Amino acid sequence: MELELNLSDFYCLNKNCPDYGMKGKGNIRVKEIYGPKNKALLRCNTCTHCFSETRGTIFFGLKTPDDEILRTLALVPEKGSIRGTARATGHDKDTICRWLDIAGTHCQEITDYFFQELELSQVQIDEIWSYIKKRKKT
Amino acid sequence: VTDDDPDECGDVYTLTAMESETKLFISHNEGSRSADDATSFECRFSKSGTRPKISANLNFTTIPIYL
Repeated sequence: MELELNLSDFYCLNKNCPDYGMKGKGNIRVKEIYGPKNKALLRCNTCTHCFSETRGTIFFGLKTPDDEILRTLALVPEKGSIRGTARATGHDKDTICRWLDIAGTHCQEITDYFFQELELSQVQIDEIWSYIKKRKKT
Repeated sequence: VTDDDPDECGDVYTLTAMESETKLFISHNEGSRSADDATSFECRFSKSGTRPKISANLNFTTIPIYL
């Protein structure tokens, strides 16, 4: 099986490893291919720590193909509702909610990382009012 | 909204903040019109290196407000 994986894009995730956070050190090797999605289990030769290639991404631990997850998440703002997306894609609404939660948390972490020491000139603030209430049972 | 309804029901205000030049979406917050929500919304600005000029569109009139 041919892997489309650039190992220089990965670094050891073990915080106690001397090569933690450093890419292109040549210490990452593919240990094995695992799971129904044929993902690579990577191994750090420095500290022997093993981790999945999807570790730290929104795809970690999910069985659905990556493309399908991305397509479904992209449909949510297009459809405007989770139930509509569920009907269009065939996935359960609770599954989509879980994916949204994972993706949202991940995006928040990325945003918090990059949004530091911003040089802001002028910021425009807006307020959108909405109302949440259950419909009465008929 | 009645007392029997969950806390999520009722008025919800979504506050958004966008940088005027780059259109960078800096901060958003969903909640009520409370001090806690305003503080949560504002916390992103405190991370910025410079104190930005704030403008809000109130009644179709842009009023610059300085923090």
